[in-house]
Amino acid sequence: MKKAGMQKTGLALAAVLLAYSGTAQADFDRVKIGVLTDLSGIYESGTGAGSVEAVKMAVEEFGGKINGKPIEVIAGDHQNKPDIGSSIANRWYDVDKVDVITEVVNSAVAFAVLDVTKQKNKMLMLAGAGSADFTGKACAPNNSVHWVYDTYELGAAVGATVSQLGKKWFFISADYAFGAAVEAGLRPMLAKNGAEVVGGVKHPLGTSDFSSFVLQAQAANPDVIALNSGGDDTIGALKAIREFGLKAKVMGFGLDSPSGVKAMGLQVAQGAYNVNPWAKRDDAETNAWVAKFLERRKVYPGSFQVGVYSAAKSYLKAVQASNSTDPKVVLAKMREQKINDVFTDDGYLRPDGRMVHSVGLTQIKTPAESKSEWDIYKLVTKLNGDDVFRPLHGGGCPDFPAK
Amino acid sequence: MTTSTSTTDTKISAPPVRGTDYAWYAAGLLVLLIVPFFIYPLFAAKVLCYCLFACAFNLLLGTSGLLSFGHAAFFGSAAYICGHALKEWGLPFELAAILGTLTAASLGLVVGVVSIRRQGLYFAMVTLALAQMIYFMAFQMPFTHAEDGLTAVPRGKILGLFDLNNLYVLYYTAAAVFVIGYALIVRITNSTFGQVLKAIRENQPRMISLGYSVNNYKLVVFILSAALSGLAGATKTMVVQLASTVDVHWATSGDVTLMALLGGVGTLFGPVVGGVIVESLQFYLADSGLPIQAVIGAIFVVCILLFRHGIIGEYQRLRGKH
Repeated sequence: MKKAGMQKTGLALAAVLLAYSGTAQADFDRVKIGVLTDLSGIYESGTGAGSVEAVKMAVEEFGGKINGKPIEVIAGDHQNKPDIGSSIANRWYDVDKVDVITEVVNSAVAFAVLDVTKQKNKMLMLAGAGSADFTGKACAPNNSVHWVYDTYELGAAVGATVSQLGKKWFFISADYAFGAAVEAGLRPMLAKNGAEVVGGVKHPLGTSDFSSFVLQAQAANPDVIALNSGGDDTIGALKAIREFGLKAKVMGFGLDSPSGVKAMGLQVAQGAYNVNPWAKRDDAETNAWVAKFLERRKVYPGSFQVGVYSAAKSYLKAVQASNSTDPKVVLAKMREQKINDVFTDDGYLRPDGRMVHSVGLTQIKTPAESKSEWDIYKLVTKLNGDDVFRPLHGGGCPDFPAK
Repeated sequence: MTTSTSTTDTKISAPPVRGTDYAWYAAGLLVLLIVPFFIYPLFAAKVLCYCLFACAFNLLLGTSGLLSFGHAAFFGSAAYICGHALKEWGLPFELAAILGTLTAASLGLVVGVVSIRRQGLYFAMVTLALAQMIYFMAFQMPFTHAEDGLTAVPRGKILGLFDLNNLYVLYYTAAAVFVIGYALIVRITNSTFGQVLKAIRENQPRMISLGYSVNNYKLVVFILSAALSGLAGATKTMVVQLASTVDVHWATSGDVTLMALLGGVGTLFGPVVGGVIVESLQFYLADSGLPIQAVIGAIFVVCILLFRHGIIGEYQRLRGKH
C-alpha cells in the first residue's frame, strides 16, 4: 500500500519534471567557461586580465549559478602561439570539460582554436580576433560566434564616414600585414563612398621619426589622413602631424585603446577620429558597469573587454533559458534573444555566427572638454550594424552562398 | 645516458660505456611507453616533437660547437610543407613528413654553404639573417596563409591502418619518430664522424693541419641537424594540426637554444630535459595566472648562474667527480 503510494508520488514527480524541462533536458552539472587570451604579451592591455574580469562580472550577475548548477571560469594564456592555443583548447575540452571558450585575441590562434572547437563540437565566442573569415570561409555556424568586430566592418564603418569627414584621403600605413590588411579593406569602401585616395606612404614598424611621411601627406593636401598602424606608431605619426600643424582630420586605428590614448595625452590626440565597435551609451546602466570595472581593474574597459562581457552574458542567458550546454541548442536560443546590454542595445546574432550591432564613430575630446581622467571619447555618429557588417550571403561561408 | 663531455672540457670524450647505456635506454623507452596514461597524450606528443628539435639543434651546437640562431627556419619550413602536403595534396603523414624533412635538408644545404665559412657570432648572425628571410617568405607566400596560419590540417592514418585522431595512436607515432630521430643522433654523435666534429670544435687549426676538410664536415652535420629539425617540425604539424609564422619566428630559434642550454649543451639527453621543462612551463603555467615569459626567463637566469653546464651536464659532472 505504502509502496504503491510512493510509486504514485514518484510518477507524479517525474511528470512534473518532464513538463518543467519541456523540450530540453538538463544535460549539465556545471557550466565551464574558458577565457583563452593573451595574458603576457602585446594584446594584454586591450584584452588579457581585463577580459577575464569582464567574464567574471557576467557570471556574478547570475549569482555564479544557473538553474542551481555552478558556473566556473578558467583563464589561459595562449602566449600568441597558435600551437599553444590549440593544445590548451584540446586539453580544456577533453580533460577539463570546458563548455565554451571565449575571447581569443590574435586571429592565428583563433583559427587554430576554432578548428579544435569544430572537431569536438563545442562552442567558441570570439571577441578580440578580427579576421572577417570567421564568418566567411572559415565559418562554423553551429560552433562559433563572432561578437565584437571584423576587418570588413572596420573598412565599411570608415567608408561610411566619408560624407562627414571629406573625400580626399591619405594613408600612413605600417609596413606589415596588419597595415596592409587595413589598407586593403579601406580602399574599396572609400571608393564605394565616392572618396579618393590621393596618396599613401608605408613606414617600417617602430618608426621614431615621422617627419618625412607627414611632409608627404602635407604635400598631397588631403581632407583625412588615415593612420593604419597601432601602438607607438600611431602615437608617433599623430605627434608629427600636430607638430607640423596639418589641418587634415585624422582617422587612427590605433586609437581604440583608452589607456593608449591616455598615455599619449589629450593634448596630442584631441580631435582625432576612430571607429569603435563599442558605441558607448551615456546611461546609468553603462556608467555603473564602467565604474565597477574601473574599481576592479583601475583602467577603463576597452571595447573587446566590454564585448566579451556581453558575449558571456548572452551565452549564460541562453543556457539558463534552454537548460542545456549543447552548442546547437544554446546557439538557437542566442539567436532568438535580442542583445541589449552595456555593449550594445540593438544587437542580434545572425545564423552565420556574426553578432550584428551598431558601432560608433568617435572623436577624442579636447583637454577642455574632458571632465575626468577617463573622459576621452565623444560619440559623433552611431553607425547602423546592418550597414557596416558584411551581408549574410556572399561572404564566403559555404552555408550561406551568394544569392 | 652518454659520457660525452661538455663544451668547456678540452679532452675528446672516451667511447660510451655500453652496459649502463643500455640500461638507461631501456628505462627511457619504458617511460615513453607509459607516459600517455599519466599525461594528456596530445601534449606529450607535442613535447616529444620539441625535444627532438632541441636534440637536432644540439647535434650541431654540442658536437661541432656551431651556434645556429636560425633553426626555426628548418623547423618551420618543414612544418609548412608537411601541413600543405597533408591538407592540400592529401598525402599520408609518412610521405608528408619525408617531404618536410627533405625540404629542411635542402634548405640546410643552402644556409650551411653560406654560413659555415664564418665562425662564432658571425655564424650565428648569418643563420639568423637567412632564417628571417624564410620568416618573411612565410608571410608573403600564399600557401602559408600568412598570419592566419595553415590550420585544420588533417592527421590521416599511420601506415594506412591506424587513425591518428586517436590520441594514443598519435602519441605513439610521435614517440616512434622521436626514438628514430634520437637513435640517429646518438649514432652520429658516437661515430668516427662525430669524434672528428668534436676534434674540430676543440682545435680547428690542428684538424686542418691533419688534412681534414673541416668545412665539409661542418656542412654535413649542419644538413643533418637541419633535416632532423625538419622531421620534428613536420611531426609537430601533424600533432597540433597547424603550422604558423610562430614556427619560423626567431623566438622559436631562441626557445630551442634555451632548451639545449637548460638541459645541457653537448649532452645527448640534456636537450630532452630542456625541451620537457620549457614546453611544460608554457603549457601548465598557461592557466596559472603567472607571467610565463618572466618565469621562464627567471629559471634561465638561475640555471646560467647555478648550473653552468645545464641540468644534465651538471649532473654528469658531479657524478664524474665522486
